[in-house]
Amino acid sequence: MKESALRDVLVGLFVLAGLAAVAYLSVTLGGFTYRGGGGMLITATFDEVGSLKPRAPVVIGGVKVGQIKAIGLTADLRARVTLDIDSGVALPADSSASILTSGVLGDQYIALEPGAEQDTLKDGGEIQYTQSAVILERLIGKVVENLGADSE
Amino acid sequence: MTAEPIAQLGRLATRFVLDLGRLTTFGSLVTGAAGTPPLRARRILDELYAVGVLSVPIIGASGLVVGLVLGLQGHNTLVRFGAEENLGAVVGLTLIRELGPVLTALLVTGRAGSAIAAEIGAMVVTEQLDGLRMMSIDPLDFVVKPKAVAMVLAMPLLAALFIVLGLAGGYLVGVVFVGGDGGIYLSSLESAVEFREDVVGSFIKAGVFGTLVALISTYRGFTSEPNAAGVSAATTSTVVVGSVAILVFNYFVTALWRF
Amino acid sequence: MEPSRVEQAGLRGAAAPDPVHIQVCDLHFSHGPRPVFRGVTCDFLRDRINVILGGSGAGKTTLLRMLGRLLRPDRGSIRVDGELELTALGRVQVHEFRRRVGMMFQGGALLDSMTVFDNAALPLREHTSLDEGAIRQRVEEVFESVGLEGVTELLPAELSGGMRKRAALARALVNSPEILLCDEPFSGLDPATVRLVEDLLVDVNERLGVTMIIASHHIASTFRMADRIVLLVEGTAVCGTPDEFRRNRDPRVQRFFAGELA
Repeated sequence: MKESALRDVLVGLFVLAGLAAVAYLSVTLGGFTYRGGGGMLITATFDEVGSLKPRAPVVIGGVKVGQIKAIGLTADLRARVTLDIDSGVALPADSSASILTSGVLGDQYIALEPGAEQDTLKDGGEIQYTQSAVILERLIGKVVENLGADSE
Repeated sequence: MTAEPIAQLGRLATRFVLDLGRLTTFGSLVTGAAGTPPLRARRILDELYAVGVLSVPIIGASGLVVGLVLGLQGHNTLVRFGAEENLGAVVGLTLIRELGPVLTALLVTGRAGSAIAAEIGAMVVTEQLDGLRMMSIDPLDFVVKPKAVAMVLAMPLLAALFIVLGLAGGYLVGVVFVGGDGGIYLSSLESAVEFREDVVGSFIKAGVFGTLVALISTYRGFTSEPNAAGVSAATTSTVVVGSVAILVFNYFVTALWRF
Repeated sequence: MEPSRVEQAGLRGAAAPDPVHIQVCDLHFSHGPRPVFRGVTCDFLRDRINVILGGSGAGKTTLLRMLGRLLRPDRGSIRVDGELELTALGRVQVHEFRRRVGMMFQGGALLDSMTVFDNAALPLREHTSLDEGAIRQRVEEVFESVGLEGVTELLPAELSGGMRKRAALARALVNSPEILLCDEPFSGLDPATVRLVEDLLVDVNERLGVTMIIASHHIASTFRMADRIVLLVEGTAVCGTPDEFRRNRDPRVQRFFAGELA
């Protein structure tokens, strides 16, 4: 029976070690967070969202405060993005949202620039000031166009 | 006689399909038994020791070594593009998405899967399973169920340990041996790994592989011929069929999960 | 030998239970292409020692396994207590029937990962609601009656062949079965131990009044202990008492004994 007790301890240790490894991979690396309710859903409408994807980060000053929940089309064919913002973030009502690219060729994300108003956005609110995504191909196209025009 | 090879192929195909059908029936019986009392917690714990604890040394050592190799190869390749600071991401994603679950499953099949098949096969030869039947105890419930459950539980845990040790191996090469920055390794790793796409997908693979090996090893042992040659065939077949099944299912899970 | 239950019942004036416990009728069975039973008809007596005798390959173990429903014949009937048709039972009924049967396998068939005690206690732990104390008591009682003492915490692999047989017998008896099936209980034993096991089985039969059906090719033991012999020869069966066999003029029987004793 002593043998059995030792084995049980080892099994317990094995399970603990395994779960710890799972937790490390999920939380530390994967960034899995338990988001207890209280997050705010805020919308922002853009002309162009580029390659923005759901679950892309939403940052303020480089700090992640939420993620994209959904991207859809409005009645007048503009892109409406739903942002899931952490609770406790007091976002002034006149804040702006821009779609930026991480590095030159990286993934796209949304950066929020806080405004100056006293009132803050609540769940269901909408960001009025938006800056659409820059499409690299169009930029290059413009540059080529201009070069062509200059050389004439 | 050009018809003979074709006839043989036909027979092979028929046998394969028949075997698959039997395996599925067996699998549903075991799953049914798993859902009904008695829980057999004591036996599941004993099997967790055999499958889990005893596999830790080989999984740990292999994980570390694979991590070292990934670190080496990764570094050598990234240096050519001046992108060594991405080593953490390269090692991490490779381990989490593919090498962790797949290599762990292959190693466990060889070690624990074959052991299970051999053990059950030996019980068939020595009439222990018939003995259970004569005592009105279902061998599927008493012998197979604890082994299968333990395998399914242990596989994701072992895969996680493999991955973590692999990351440590990559760190050893990239930071300790080559002299890179530890902070950059870790932050590159953290920013590249995504929870849903990478980590969850990895554990789903491990779970699927665990189920496959559990099923194949117990089935082969249970249906082995009641003699020494039969047990040997069951063991070999477990490793071969199990390994191929893991690689095939790896493709399907990867493809489906990317959706 | 004290009067059997049958005779005792008769003495009491009660309706005597049928002396035939199991009736086998016209069994046919082939192992692949090879026919084993070509119309086997015989019966087994209640509370007596019945021995299935025969050469190797004659089908002794096969018949025994059929009595335990581990195997089914291609054709034929096996009737218990005149009413229960063994070949036609569904899974649940087979389970119920097996509660009345204890089987002692040739190699013991004890679970090698458990101690001898746990092996013997298994039927009780699985099928009864007895507490551990009652189980321990019963198991020790049975161990004592088969002459197995002081070895309860050992694994089967740590026992000698003779002790393993005793442990297997204990496990078969622990749930007080009506029928005891023994597959080659004397195989692999030296002559002295054979006598010991023989005496043990006779003792168990006398004390517990269990219907014993033993498959054996050991002629000497058979003639010493059997109340009834079922000889499987050339695909059929010949039944009788040892005395009847000694006087038997049937050419098949003659051929068997001539071959065995040659």
